[in-house]
Amino acid sequence: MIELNQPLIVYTAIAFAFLVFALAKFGFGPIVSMLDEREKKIRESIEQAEHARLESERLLRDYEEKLAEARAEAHKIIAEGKQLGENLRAEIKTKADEEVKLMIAKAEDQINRDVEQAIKELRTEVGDLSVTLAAKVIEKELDKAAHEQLIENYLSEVGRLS
Amino acid sequence: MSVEQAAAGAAEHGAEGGGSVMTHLLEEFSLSTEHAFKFFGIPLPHGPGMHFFGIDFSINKAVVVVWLATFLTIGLVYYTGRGGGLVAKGRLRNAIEALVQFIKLDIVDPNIGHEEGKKWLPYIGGLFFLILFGNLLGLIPGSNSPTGNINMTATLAIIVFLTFVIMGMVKQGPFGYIKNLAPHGLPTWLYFILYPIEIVSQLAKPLSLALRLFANLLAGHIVIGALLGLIILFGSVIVAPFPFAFAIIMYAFEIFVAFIQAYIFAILSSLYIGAAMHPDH
Repeated sequence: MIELNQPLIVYTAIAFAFLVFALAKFGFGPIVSMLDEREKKIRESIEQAEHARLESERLLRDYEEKLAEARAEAHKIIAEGKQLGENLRAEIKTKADEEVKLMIAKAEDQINRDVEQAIKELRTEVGDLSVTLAAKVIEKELDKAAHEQLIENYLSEVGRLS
Repeated sequence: MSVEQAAAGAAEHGAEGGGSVMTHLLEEFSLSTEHAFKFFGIPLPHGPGMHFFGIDFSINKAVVVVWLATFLTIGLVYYTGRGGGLVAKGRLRNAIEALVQFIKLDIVDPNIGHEEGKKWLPYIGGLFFLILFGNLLGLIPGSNSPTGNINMTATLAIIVFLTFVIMGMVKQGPFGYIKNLAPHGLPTWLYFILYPIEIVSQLAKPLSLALRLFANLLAGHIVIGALLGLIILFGSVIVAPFPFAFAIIMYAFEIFVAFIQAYIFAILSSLYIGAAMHPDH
């Protein structure tokens, strides 16, 4: 306890000197460098992570911009397509209308021509018949009564025809 | 025989038993009796045969514990340092590493400085671990606490005293150190009062270091011993559990004290050394 004890004093001094020497020589160095290295590593990792975060944020912005661009592009294309379709439709419609009108006009033309033709033909026929009738009348001149009857007959015939 | 007589007899007998227990206990603390030269039954070399150059090199229990603490410290620190990699592997390595980091960041660096602290880490760390393991090994029943003995604490305190006086003289010059003991720019007559006070305060530093550690450790052991002595004093199965429970609590508290005292000794040493090296701070 409190009485002087020489061995303990001597050995404490020697042990402490030895301990300090041993710890300085190969004790704390590796531990301290390990602590320092770990600190460095952690700091670097944090910096790297921060860097990566900024990079990814930048990329995300880039992609968002590109996406918006692409979306606008698509909208434009669709609008253009719609416009084109609309134009095409209108064009086709006008064309068709014109064609229809043309066809109607043609048909009317044809009809008119046909009617004229028919009238012309009829006229020729009537002329022919008149000639034939005249011949017949000449053949039966003797019989005035028959002649008259013939004209009568013929006229009635023509009347039926016309 | 009446009940009172029986009780008185028991008390008398108990007092005798308790007295012999306390005597025995104090003998266990003493390093000069034959008890001191047996460590868990192993006889230790001692006597005139161990005297060299007129110095007694006898090995007693406390000396064995000092050396155990020394080699335990070196072994554990070496083991931790050879852990490899950036992160210590294993619980023991992590525990030692945490202690080393604590000594470095909270004891050495704030008091001595970051750059100079690197050189002082083995010194302060050595003090811390030597005292810590001295305290903890001393708590093993049948062992002896060298830190509960004034011879060890005074030796360490005197080493610290010499260290900070010499470092102060190296850093500030022998006269600069003495001049810086007292504040500057005071009337001359005041220095006649201040210098004795400052010299006493310098001497009080190692004295307080030595006495604090020694008294705390010895008191803890005596309290545990006294509590266990109560069991023999009363000699009763009914009473026995209570001192025993208190002794267990005190034992746990002593483990806490072991860490606290090692920390206090280390931080005060680094504070004294740092103050001697940087007087302006």
